[in-house]
Amino acid sequence: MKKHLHLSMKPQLINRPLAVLLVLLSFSVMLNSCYKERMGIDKIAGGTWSPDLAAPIAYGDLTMARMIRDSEKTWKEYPDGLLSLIYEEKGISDFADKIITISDQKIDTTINFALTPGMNVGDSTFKYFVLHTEFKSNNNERLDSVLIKSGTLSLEVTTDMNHNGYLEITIPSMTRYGVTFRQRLNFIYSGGATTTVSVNVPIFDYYLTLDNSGSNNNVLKQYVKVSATKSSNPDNSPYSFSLKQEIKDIKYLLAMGYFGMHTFNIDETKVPVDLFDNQTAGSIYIQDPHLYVTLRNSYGLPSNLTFDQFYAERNGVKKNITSSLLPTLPVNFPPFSNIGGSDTTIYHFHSGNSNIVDIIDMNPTQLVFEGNVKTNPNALIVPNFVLDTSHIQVDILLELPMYGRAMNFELRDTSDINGDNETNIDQLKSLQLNVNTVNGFPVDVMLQLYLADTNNVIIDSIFHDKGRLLKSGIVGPAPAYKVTSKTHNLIKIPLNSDQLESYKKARRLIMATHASSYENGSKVVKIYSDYSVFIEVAAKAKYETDF
Amino acid sequence: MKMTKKKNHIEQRVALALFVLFTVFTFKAEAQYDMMIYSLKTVPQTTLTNPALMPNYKYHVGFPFLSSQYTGFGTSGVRYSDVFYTRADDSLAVDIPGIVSKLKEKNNFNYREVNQILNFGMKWKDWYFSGSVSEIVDINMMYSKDLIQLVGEGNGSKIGETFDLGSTALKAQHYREYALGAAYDYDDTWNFGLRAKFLFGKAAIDTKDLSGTLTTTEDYYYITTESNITINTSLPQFKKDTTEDVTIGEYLFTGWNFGMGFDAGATYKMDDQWSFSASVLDLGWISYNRWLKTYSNENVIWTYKGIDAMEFDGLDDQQSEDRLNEIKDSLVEMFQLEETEKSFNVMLTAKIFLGANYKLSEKEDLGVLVRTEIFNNVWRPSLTLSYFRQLNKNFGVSGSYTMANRSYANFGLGIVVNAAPLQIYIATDNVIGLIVPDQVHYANLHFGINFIFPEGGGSKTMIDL
Repeated sequence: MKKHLHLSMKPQLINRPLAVLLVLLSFSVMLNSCYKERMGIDKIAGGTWSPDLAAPIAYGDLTMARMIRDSEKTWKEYPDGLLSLIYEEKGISDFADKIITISDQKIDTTINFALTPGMNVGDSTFKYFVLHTEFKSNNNERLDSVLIKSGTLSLEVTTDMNHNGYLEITIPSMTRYGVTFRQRLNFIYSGGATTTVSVNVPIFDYYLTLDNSGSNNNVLKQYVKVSATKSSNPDNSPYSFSLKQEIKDIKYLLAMGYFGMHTFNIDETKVPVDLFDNQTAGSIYIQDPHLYVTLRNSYGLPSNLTFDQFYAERNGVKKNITSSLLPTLPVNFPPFSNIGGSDTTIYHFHSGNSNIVDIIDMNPTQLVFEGNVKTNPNALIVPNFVLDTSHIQVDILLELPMYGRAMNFELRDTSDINGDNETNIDQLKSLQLNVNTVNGFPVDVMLQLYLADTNNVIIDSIFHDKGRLLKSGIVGPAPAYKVTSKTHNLIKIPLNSDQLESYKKARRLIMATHASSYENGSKVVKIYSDYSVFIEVAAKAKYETDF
Repeated sequence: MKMTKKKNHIEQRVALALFVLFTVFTFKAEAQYDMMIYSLKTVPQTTLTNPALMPNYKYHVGFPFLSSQYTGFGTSGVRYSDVFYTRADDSLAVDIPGIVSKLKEKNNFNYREVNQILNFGMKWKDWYFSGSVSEIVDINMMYSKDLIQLVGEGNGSKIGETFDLGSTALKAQHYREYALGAAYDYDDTWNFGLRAKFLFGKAAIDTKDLSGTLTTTEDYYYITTESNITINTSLPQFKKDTTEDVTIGEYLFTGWNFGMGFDAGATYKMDDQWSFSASVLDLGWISYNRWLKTYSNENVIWTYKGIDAMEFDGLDDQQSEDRLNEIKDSLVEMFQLEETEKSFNVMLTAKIFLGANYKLSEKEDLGVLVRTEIFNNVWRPSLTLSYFRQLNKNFGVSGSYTMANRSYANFGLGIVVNAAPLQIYIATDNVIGLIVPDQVHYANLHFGINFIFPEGGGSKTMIDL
């Protein structure tokens, strides 16, 4: 080596130290090549970024007032702020024009008429006839008057008179806008044995009064005027006038009289009570529920309502609503001074006169009722009136004051997840959700989340035990039972990699919440409109991605 | 005898001073810059470290564009090899946990490149005048471990604690330097020197203020940031579509953004063996007034507590999406950065050199050099011990040991070949850095060619202190 150096180097500039330096330089170049091979930029192939990220996600101050505003339910607020949930449904009877009808009337009569002897050609003569006919009714109704909405009066007259003339009918008790009904039929003799003339007159807005003062009911008095003008034809008097009269398809706006006994149905009506819809266990005990049956009657006649069925139902189990007021409820009716109006009868079912507390304790999902209405049930003949739109409306209103207690009341709700296969949590290695709450409600809420497959078979759960989501606020003494101080709670929900894997496989998320009122449901509480709960959710995630 | 006693006393004091310096630098040695060149006494570019140094030449001329080419980087944080780990398939992957674990609270990275275009000098009586034109890129960056930890490991790695991003700073400049210097041989013991620099900035990024904290609270993970930001930039756009844009040619040769700088130095020759030197370099500034953008805020405190879910109450899907986008925009604007255009000054990164030399013989010289630079109000010292030997008339070599950038295994080498009038030199503070730059905190290379014309026909080329 030494020899080689001597041979290869110029002796003047490159001496021994320099030779050593050159050797070192060569060695350096070699090492540098190794470095490039080992750590060259072209060998850089990204890396893995796996940060721990923590951030608050969302928060909200959920007030009862806001919940009420956004709720699809109906709420009632008392002056002190106590809230009630209202469930209401209406059942409506048929309108009166389907129950009480006026049948078609047919009146056939023959009138004989003679010319005045000695009449010259061109002279005229006439004669009045009075007809008393009786309106027939379907149910022996007594019709005192009818304001006709629509109908047709048909007249057909056949005569053997060989002169020109006319027949005019006047019904003084049938007027429209103060004008008496009058209809004339003209005869023009044109040869032949008889002449027939007919007319169909639409009748509407006529006020028809029938005479019930005598022994017969529903008597209609008509005046028939027959007039003739002497022609050159011979006088063959007496002449015959055959009068066929028909009043048909009568619809009324208002009818007065006495309409007798009719029975009509209030069809089956259901009142959904969705408060208990998703309940799977536990109970809610409402301290003072109320059920109101409100009957709004626009028939101007006495009637009563009888419930054919009136019960509460949960999961196919039915329980009849019983009360000293039942089974038949008299229905008030509007007086003649309030034609077109209605009268209201309210029946209040409460703990003192019914089994409504027991009914609600079964946490029903619906109330069901069906009934029939009987008019003039006592056959007392009193003046009746009906409008074509008269009906009876049955309002069932269930009021559940938020005053009571709940014991381990479980609600379950299932939602689909990962259905679109777009959920990408592969890069999530662990996750912790922190739920911080400040609860002003007198309710403890436990939460469990189940991960399930499409057949609702549970794959995994989020909490080893139930997670206490909300801790009840501290409740003050009776009678207000109001929350006096809010309670803070922090729940940490760690999701390990196994649970995240389960989440990826799951297709359904079952959320089970267990709620108990203050002190495990042993104390009654009240829910007021100024209650609120503050919830905030924060997340800490271990995220991993290659770059 | 008396003289010997005095000499011993001085040597003891020097030894004590060296011990103290060594101790200090063992704990805090964070800078780098061309230490080896100081010991190559025959190279005119030595005056770059102290304008009072006086080449013993009648005159010298640098080889155009090759008189002084310097490239160097330093990092007190991670080395290149710390950044990666080798995978099973032999590829390199970024090792984020490894990077974070190797960082100190405050870390710096710097890069400097000096390309001397022209260099000349001449002796006149007791003066030596010199001049140079250089293209300089100087990047100084300071960053906190917290910043890297925040980006690399996320804020979840320090729940309940505060990420302090306050020691983050960046000063990066590209400028041209026209320098005129004069060294004065005051007497047998003292030399003084001064160099004036006329500077033309071409591009700059300067974080006047980049302080901030990020705190994530326990349990609720509220994120609070506090920030004071002023980032000045002067960055030309190399496009042709607007009047503000410039071409590369305009960028290189047009003089905008004027500034001035000064170097000052002195040398003291105590006796035939001992000599001392001191210099202050780069006292100056550049005023930028072209291609300006300043991003700033002032004491912005912002806490993110999540999205108020109630704001989405009652909104349909489209409205919810719009609202979400508004929230995203507001997150982006959380620092309330204001963008303005105003001229700004960038101070040069000042450096202080303190040197001591002990002449072992006419051909040997021992030196110690302390260099400190001040960046972002942080003093960054480095220490070099050197030995120079003139092997023969034409060939000098120097070896050094440097503590810098928290690195204590930096062995440098310098070689100068004088074949007057040609002079070639090459120097590095860390030979290992040239061989395996991935393994070092600090590496540089200084290379140049000069034409030298020694007084007396080249019998003595050493710079005389």
